[in-house]
Amino acid sequence: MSRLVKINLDLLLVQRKMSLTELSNKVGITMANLSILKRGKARAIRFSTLVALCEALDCEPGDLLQLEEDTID
Amino acid sequence: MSTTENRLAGIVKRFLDIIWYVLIFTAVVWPVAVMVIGLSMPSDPAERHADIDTFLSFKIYSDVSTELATQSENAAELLIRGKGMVQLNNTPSLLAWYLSGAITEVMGFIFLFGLLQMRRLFASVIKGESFARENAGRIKTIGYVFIGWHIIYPLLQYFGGRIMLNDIGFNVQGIQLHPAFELNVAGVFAGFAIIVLAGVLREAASIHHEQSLTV
Repeated sequence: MSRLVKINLDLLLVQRKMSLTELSNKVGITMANLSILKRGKARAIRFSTLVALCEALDCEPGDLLQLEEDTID
Repeated sequence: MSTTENRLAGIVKRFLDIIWYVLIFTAVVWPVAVMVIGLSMPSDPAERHADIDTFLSFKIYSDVSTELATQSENAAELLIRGKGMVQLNNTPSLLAWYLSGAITEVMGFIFLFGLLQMRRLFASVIKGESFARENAGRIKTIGYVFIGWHIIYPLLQYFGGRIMLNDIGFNVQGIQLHPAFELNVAGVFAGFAIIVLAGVLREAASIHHEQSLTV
């Protein structure tokens, strides 16, 4: 079975008590792109984006990215 | 795209639209006109005056008329030869009239199909969707239309010309007309090149899609 990278954005936003809009303003990424990340539709993430998200959410890349089994056939 | 390129795309699209509507009108009116004129022709072939356009090769010899005859007492010399669209006026052939009209209509439809793809392509470009996946398919279709045009048209002209000449029964001293076949090899290769470029655009569309999902 193939695996995919899951972005734990929802969980971290709840833990940091931050809305998606606030995060968008803080990191300078559009709501549309954050939505792509949140819905798991992103094909790739730039290091600069990863660094900006980790700084805004005060976390490590490993907290944001998680490898899991792809349940979709 | 720059503002100038976008404006140019808009102008080309409008030009294509005008050509499209004119050709649609012609495609509808033309067969009706051909039928009406054909049906109104006298039943006696000797009284018909059908003007036919067709692609032929021609040879004109020195004995074609006293004005062109040389002083030589030998056999007639070949003075002029050529190949191209020839208009035969006042022919008695109804079959040639309808066949000529039908060939024009068929080629018109092929051209319209290619033109439709061009219009859709430019509409997509103007909307800022140059790398839409459908555009690769449209360009590929244009390539096939190019190839089809440059193969089908010469074949129709050759076989159509042959049938027309047989039916007209052209018999003028000093002038020979023959059906002609001229394959535009460059046109066919251009079509293949367009198909290859469509593949390149498909790859570009894939990269663009990937890029759009890179955050």
